[in-house]
Amino acid sequence: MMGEMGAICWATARRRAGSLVAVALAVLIGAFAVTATVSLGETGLRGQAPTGRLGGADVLIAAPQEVAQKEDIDVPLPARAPVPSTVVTQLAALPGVSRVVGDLTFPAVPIRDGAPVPAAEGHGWSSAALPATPAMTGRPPAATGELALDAASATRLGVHVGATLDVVTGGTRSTYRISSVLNGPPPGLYFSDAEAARLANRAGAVDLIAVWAAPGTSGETLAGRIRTALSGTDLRVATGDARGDLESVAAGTGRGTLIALSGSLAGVILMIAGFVLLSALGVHVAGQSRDLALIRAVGATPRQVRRLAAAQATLAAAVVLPFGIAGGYLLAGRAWDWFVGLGVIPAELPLVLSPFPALVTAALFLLVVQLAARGAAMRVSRLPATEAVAATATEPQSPSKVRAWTGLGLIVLATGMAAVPLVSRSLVAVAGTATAGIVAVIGLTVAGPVLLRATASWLARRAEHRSAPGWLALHNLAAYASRGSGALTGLAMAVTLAITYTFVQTTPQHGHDTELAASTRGALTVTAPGLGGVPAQALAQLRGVTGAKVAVRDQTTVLWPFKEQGKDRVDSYPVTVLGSDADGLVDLDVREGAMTGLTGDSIAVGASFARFQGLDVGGKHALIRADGSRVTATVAAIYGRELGYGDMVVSPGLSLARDQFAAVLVSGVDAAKARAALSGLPGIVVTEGTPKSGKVNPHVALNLVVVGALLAYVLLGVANSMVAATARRREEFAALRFAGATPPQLRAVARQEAMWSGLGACAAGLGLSALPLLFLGTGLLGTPIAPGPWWLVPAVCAVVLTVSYVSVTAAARRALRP
Amino acid sequence: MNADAVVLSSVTRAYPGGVTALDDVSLQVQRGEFLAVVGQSGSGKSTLLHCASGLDTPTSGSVVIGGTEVSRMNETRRAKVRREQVGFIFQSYNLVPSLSVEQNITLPLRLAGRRPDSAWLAGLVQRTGLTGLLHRAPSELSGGQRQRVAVCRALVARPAVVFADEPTGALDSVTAASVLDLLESLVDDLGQTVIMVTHDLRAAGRARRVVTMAGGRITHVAAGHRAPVRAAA
Repeated sequence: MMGEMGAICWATARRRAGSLVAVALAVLIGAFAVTATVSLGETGLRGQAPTGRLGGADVLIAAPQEVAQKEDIDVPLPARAPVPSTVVTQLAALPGVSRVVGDLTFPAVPIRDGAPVPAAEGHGWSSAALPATPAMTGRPPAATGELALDAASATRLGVHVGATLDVVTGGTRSTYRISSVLNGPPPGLYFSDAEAARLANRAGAVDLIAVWAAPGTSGETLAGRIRTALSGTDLRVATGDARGDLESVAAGTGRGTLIALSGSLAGVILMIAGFVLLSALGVHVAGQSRDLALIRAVGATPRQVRRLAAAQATLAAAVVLPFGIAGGYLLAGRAWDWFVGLGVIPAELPLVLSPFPALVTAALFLLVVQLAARGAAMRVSRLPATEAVAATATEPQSPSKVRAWTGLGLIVLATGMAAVPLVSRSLVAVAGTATAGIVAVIGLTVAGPVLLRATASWLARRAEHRSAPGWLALHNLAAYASRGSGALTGLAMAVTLAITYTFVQTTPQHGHDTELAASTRGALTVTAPGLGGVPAQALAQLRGVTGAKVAVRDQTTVLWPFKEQGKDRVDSYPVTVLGSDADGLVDLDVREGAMTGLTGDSIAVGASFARFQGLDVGGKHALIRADGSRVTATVAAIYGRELGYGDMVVSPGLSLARDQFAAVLVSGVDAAKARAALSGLPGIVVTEGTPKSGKVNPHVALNLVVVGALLAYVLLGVANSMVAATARRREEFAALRFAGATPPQLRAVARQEAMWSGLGACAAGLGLSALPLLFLGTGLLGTPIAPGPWWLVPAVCAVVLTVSYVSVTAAARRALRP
Repeated sequence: MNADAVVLSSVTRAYPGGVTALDDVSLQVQRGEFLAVVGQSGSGKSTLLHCASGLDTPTSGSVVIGGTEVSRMNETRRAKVRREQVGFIFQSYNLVPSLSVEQNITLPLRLAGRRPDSAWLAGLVQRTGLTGLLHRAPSELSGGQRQRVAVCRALVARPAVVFADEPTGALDSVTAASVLDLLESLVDDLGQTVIMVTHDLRAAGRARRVVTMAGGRITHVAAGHRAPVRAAA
């Protein structure tokens, strides 16, 4: 039986090639996007950095680099959590240990010809002498003023043994004598261990501990002994491949970012892929319904009819899935390159390539295609055999009232969601706007047929005096509302998606830039991109200038622990670091408390955040610093510039930076004077006011790229559906032809329908975007008019009208060919 | 006014692949005539209808409809001739489902940019028994009613000739008889020219002349059961 059904399936599929291609294309691109997203997510969950500098050690010991959450993914710590140095001596005493090294890594930028030359990071000498003293010329650095470096860096810097080299490290510029050039060890500037400890400023701690086993002791045995010795601490002990993750902090944060990114992308990708696929399947099965009814009439059971309907689409999906999946892996690779370029993930975290994304994608799409195609064929398959043929012959059907009310309900709900920015000025509120746009579009999709029928009928009644094609077009739209609304709502979705997603990014960005600029009181901003931060020496030199008022403005990350339904949770906040010295230099629009209170473990919080968290000035809350240390923070102030400064500003006491800062603000002196004070330190930039950060926010960029791609996908899907639907209208066009319509008139009918669909889509899309954007602008910026980019509106409308026009007229031209 | 509604002279229609559906066919149909074309499937009777009505163009030969030579015209010009001179009635009705009965009937005039002659329209509607159904959708009508709408639509532009392609093929015998009665009355009362293609010999018997086709040629011409009567011109 299946063989015969297969033959029927093939025979009917050939006649439905157009709509099958649409289904295949929807699956192809959907699988492409889903595979890539799952692949990135998997890297986030399972990615493992290879061992690097310390790859030769048998066992690595490090502190946990994440904060555990109950029933959720761990939150990574962006800064190295310290391991007490006492552990080094404790482990050295264990049997079977040949060597233990407490490793330190710290920034050290050499200066050559008056310019910073970032070459490698700084370490202690013992990290170079692993496991044995390396081949070298010269002798190990012993004195404070000596350093060793690898041969490649020495060549690049043009130095040799005995020469001197200026290095900005530990917050100052100091001169070192090259004691040796090393052949073998990984790139690095190696200082004497005592000097390294001073420069790293870890106060009795190391970054990680590397242990070598004595001959005759295996790494695993040794690791077991170390675990026993360290039981009672939360230190991690790793051997083999697991060592890589302990060695790289960036790998952990990169994984966290990948999980967050793929999680947020998965939602919108699945929704859009689902929409495009379901509409393509809808058109495909509708095109088949006559055949299915006939097959039903000649004795096929309802189940067989549904199986047949699903078989073609499944076959088409199965053919293209491998290509989509393969493309998805390639796309994941490109995305990985891009993220590494943006600095979102470290290059040492490799992309995980496993069959998992392929299996998930294939299973997901085959399941959706099967279920959706069977669902779409449900009505035809259940009709009594004799009625089936008659019912499919009279195509216009009345759209259901339930759908209309459900859809309108969703649109009302979306409007409610979009109102969140009116009550909360925080950035969290912005997410409501984006979601509202999506919910509203789903509502439109559901209510589409009813709305289209009502609108088109109303217009048709007013079109009595229009030309025959225009009049016919409106009557057709009203009568075939179900058919037409699929395309129309798809196009409207493109408009809403493009506009809300872009404005949701640009409106807060505009607010951020405006508030940041407004908060800076005529100060100079000092940065040092070449040095990785402004060294403490520069800060001291600026403070020494008479009349100068100087403050640090740094960046760090803090974790905010809270309880959610009795479970311990933690949120990660990238925050600005400002101290009491910033009072008068930075105006946060303090509502309560004072900036002068920003000392020690104190924080300032945004007004919305304070209200939401129930915080008052003087209130306390637990906080976790970037290296995992826990403190109790005191609220010193509540401020209004939440768009510019986010939910929280922390005092320097909560930051880990002691000798290097992202920026230093200076007022009271002019730029020339400030530059003169900094003359001994190259690589430092003094800007008047707030420097425009030319850096692209990777999340914003990613969002825009993804939305752009999805937009193209939606438009392609809609165009495909329109072409397939128009191609099915041969009979309808024939009837008009027998009634005396000329080919130009028939093309005009199609053209007018396309025009009305496009205009309707623009109107609906803009209508659905208008209110959320109005709320967003009013709530965040205090003006109902969002700052732009307004060119996007006509551009998107032009694209939508073009897609609608081209796909319908091209398909109509083909359908009209004898 | 030209006395002939349709004149075919040496019309040949060959299809790519060597099939000759019409082979040097000549036929003259006078105004007011009720002609039936019969023949087995593949005899060329459908091709004859397509060429004679201007839906298709012959490979060679000439076709004159209502005094206009159409065989060398493009589709757009033929469509304009058709909507003035030709009405169609099909087995599958070919009504436009998105339009009401009235809108379907007046569609040819609307496409031609003409206003309906309300007296003529009212007369047609009454004659076809569609009074009271004008605002219905075609899907709400029975098969017989739909075919009456099609008849009405075919006549609304006062064409030189009406082509009926198996007009009773989808109808039961009682309904079929009433549609044939209607066609006959159009010929008798209004002097309408009707060319009907059918394989139903009972239907063909209503015509005044019956042309039999086989192998793309006219093989037999006979008088129908009813004696030919000259309609008042």
